[in-house]
Amino acid sequence: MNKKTLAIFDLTDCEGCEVELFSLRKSADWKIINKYFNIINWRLADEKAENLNFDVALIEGSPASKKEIAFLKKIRAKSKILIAFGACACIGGIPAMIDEHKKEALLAYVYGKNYRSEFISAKPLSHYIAIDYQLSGCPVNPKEVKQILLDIAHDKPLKEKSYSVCFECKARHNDCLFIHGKPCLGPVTKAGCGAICPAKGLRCYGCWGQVADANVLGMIIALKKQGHTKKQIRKIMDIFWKQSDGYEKYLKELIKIKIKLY
Amino acid sequence: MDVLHHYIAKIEGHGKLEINFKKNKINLIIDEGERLIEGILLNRPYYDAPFVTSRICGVCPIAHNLASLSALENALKIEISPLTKKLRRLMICAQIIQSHTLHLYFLALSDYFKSDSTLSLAESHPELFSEALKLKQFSDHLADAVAGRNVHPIATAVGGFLSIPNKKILQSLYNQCHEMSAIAQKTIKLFASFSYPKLSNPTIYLSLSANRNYAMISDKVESSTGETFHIKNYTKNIIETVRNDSPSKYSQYKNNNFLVGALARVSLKSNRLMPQASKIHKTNQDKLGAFPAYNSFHNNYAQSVEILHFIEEAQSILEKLIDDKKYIFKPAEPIKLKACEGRGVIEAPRGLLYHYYELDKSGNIKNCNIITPTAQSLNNLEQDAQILLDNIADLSQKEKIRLLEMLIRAYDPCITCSVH
Repeated sequence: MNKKTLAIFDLTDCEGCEVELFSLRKSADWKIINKYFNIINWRLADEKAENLNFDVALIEGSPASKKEIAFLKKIRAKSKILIAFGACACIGGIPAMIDEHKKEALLAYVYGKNYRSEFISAKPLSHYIAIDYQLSGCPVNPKEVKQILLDIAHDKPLKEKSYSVCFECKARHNDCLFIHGKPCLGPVTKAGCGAICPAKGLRCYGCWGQVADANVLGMIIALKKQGHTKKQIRKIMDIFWKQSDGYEKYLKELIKIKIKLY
Repeated sequence: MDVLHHYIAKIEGHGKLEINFKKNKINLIIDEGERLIEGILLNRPYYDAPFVTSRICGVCPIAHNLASLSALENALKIEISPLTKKLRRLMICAQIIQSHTLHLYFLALSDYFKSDSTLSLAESHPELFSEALKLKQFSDHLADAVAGRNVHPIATAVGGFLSIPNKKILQSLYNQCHEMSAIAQKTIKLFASFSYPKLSNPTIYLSLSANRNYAMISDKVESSTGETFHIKNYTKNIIETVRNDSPSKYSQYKNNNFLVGALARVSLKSNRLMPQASKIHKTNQDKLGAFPAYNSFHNNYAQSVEILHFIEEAQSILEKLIDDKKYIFKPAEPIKLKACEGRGVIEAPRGLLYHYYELDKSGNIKNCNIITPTAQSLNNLEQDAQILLDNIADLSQKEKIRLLEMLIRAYDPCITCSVH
């Protein structure tokens, strides 16, 4: 059997998703992954970047410089399947929460006013290149990673999960945090985490990104009914969704339909 | 070639060595974008800080989470329960074992075998790596059980926990401690057996101080020069400077370079190590010569000693929790908000980690400051690298690069944290 080549790269990020990938190593899963894949470039563990073509490339983080964008494009051209690996690559993640118009002021706040940045702000990989699949999460779920790699190994089509965290949460028999007054984003967030946060008592922050056809307006209305102001709703949603479509537009719409609802 | 730019592999984050062979000068280039985490947190509610700051680093997220929680609890004058203290201490044990094991076996070890890749070393020494993975897995399970996940904690909250592990899980972790301790002892033996490159730089070591135990959360910092300072004065003692060509900041303590982390801790607190770690460390000192001899390569040995220490500590805490008849979950008390400010410092795997928050009366963050361990040790690292380069002036360029890269890895720097 010809093994598929799997390349792993990381750009600017916290490297937590790579740590999760590493955590697969002790398990029997790793033996299975190794049976199908030849891992040829893992920067954390291996020094030499080989100049080859890749069947699969996992890219973690977001590019922070023009050089990294060029690198990203090169990897895209060399990869049959390119996977955005983790929230930073998929949706921009925590660093993308920044307000672009405040960036100058925040740079001065952190570094003083004489400091000049040579770096660009975090954006999802899809801002620069076409991606074939999103392995979402902050951090990714090792079980989901394994499943997708095995699907690729067997040439199965890759499908994004079409249901929300709520489904996984119900299946775990968790108490509903939203009903208990927590601004949980489970109803509109893509599944895949196994509802790990609500199971431990933490409301969903939306790190898997919005599920396809998410009823974001409905979510905003529900949060408003829960007693959150528009400003608070924006803060709840922009931790992971700042670069995602939707909620800003709906927050504006909410003004129009305010009278009808309340 | 007069000036060489060399990409440093096998460290957390991205950095490059710039070596001017003609002038024998070295420069460490920090190659990561600013994420402006302190700026991002402004005007956000206080409870987002532990969640967001753990994302500064995927290798030491627990450390950031706990530093953030203790700073907020300090600001809001919240006393945490003895149970919360014990569980957080377990999280620190998990964090240190995770991070040190990952670094020692999967990043640093190949340097000492003069192997150019961890993967080929893993193939030639399968039993060694199988045991290392057992250690890693144990620490992951410990973090999973208490923090809710091995990376980026879920179950922690300002004032306590959102949920706590059941005793069955604690018991199964306790049952593994004996085997883990045996692996950790072998790890120390391995790292005590290496002949470390010669390097001497009489610098200052800083670590947390407490009367009795091996302090990991405290409000007092002690130095190898015999001084102490309270964390409310940390910005007066740890002075950060900005260089216009680097996204990381650089620290000094009273105009001196200094070192934090495993080597500083083991050097300053060797008399407070747990029994087995202490015993083995004493025996090794005869072999290693005067420890630490201000040789930063010894940091890897110190990390191996700490792995055993924290397994012993985890075992002792787990035992207490299992025997505790009052082990029940109590949610944290409701929080009374007011305009306030507070500081927290903890020992992260790579050393002292400071968090500071100022809150307005609604609990929104008005000011924030984070000083990471790597940002504190960078000046010292550059100084060490220059001393090493001067010492090895006769060697080939290739050998110089090898030794310099090895020194940087011995520091276990986290460029990701240093920039944040």
